[in-house]
Amino acid sequence: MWRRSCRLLARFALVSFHDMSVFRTDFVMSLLHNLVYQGIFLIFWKSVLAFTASRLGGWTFPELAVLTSFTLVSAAVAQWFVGLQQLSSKILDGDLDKYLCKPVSPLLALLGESVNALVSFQQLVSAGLLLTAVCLYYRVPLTLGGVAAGLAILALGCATILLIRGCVALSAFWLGDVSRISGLFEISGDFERYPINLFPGWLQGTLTWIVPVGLISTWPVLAFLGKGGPPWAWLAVGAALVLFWSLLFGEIWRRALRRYESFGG
Amino acid sequence: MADVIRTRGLTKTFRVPVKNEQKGFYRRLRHVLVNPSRPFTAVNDLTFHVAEGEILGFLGANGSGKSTTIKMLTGILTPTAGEIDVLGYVPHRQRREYTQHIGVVFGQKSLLWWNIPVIESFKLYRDIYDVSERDFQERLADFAALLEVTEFLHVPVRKLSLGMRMRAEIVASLLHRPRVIFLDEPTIGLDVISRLTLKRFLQRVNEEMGITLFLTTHNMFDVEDLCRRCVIMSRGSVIYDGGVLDLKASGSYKLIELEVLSIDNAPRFRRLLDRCQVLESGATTYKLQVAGTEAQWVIDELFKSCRFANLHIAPPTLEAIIHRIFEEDRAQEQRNVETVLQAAG
Repeated sequence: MWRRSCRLLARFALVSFHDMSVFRTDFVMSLLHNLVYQGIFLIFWKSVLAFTASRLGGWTFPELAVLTSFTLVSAAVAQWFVGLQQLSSKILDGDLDKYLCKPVSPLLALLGESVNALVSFQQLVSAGLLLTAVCLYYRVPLTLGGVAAGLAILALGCATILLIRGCVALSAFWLGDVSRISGLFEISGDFERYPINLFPGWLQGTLTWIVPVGLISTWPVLAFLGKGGPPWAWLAVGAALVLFWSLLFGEIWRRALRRYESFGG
Repeated sequence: MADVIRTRGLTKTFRVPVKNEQKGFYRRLRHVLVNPSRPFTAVNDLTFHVAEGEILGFLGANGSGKSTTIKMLTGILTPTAGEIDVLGYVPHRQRREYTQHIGVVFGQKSLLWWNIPVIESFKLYRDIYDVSERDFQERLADFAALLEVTEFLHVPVRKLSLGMRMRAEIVASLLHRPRVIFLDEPTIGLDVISRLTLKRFLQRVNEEMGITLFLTTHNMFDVEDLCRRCVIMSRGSVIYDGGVLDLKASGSYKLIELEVLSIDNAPRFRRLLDRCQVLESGATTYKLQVAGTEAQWVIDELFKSCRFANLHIAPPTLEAIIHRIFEEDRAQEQRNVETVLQAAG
């Protein structure tokens, strides 16, 4: 079934790619949009650092630029799971019916419907361009181990955040409209743009364990740059969080299906 | 023929919110926070079976539990109690294996993808059901020709008319050659021609491919044309399970529509009316319902008592018979309630 579900996801991605690439100039313009948007943050950091003797709590401008690029990578991953944001309304509208009577994973198929493959690709290309430019221009020292650890922590962080979003969305089976709760979670995601080790301890803890935004920006970037101590601790934290949230997600999903009421005939 | 669908004591209970009629601020606030609900039984102790190759008409008024039943049979809903066996599977427990062998069509809800062309939806079905490219092309060619789908294969589903969409839905549901197809009001909102095309196609699919059809509909012509057997639901329970012809025969009365030119023998004509149930009457027109055994006598008396411009004698329609069954069921329920109330003092 997983093979079929993945094939379905791939076809959805293809359809979304075709749909969104109808207008060729859009691709270039979207790239430009991403770069300009990130550029605004880079200007902001440059201006802040002008007042703080070239370092902000240990962060230099090139490191902050790498942090900014990483936010694009996590955004690109999220484009494959945009459906999570619409999941609660789809549950309430009875849209699960379509897949519950087919031999596929209903959840994966429902998420697949909303995949933004092209946007994800554009964001990855933008992130790659920005990261390469920053690393080459500022001669940021990188090691293979650091890069691998950084990307691994980022992957675990993205998985954790998506699983939490999924759990919130699935609570719609019991609570009804949960868009406000999801919205609250999304707002806290804005912290990813800032190095969270600048914040007070309690906030760092919150942004690592409760709303683990730190795992998709600050901690993977520090590992990527070979700073902030051994990356194993963050890999372990990420793995533990992924395990916890996937178990919880699986249990909620099993209970939710039993509770599913579809909608009237 | 072996049974492909069997249910025993099938029950589905939903929770429905209770209206906030509390008095006082704190009680109202508590009601909002707790959001109390009460159970509502949509399907109650349902037991029936469907034989392989059969076309079963599953009938009932709105809210009688038809759609809930079909959703339990297709694995969408989990029953609260009871047993289901379809093709040897328990739908809600063995959903993945089971759904490979069934097709589902909801008249009120598209199972295709709204924004993409019909052919892309079919390709998605091909991937979902793991149909080989060769089989897919062959079946698509056959079904598309029979249901005249070819002309709009490249049009997005959202731009199709209801008739076109239903035809596409039926083709999609057949691409993987299911053994049973569940059709929930497939002819709803269709014009006469589309309905006829669809019915002919379904009949052919049943006869040539031996596919069992489970059909819910409000249209009695669909039932008369397609089904030999039907199950009638009311308030979540079965109130009739038997042949369509038997059901029609059970309406042992005749409807007589009469347009009178002149009444030659008024007392005799009045006596005649007294023996009939007058459903409608105008200045010169009458619609009478008479017991089957009295029909001959009524007609004889009509000839003797009046001259008429028009006389139409017909058996009751299936719709009228089912309406009568519902009325009787409702009256029985009312009597039961009254009995319970009387017993409670």
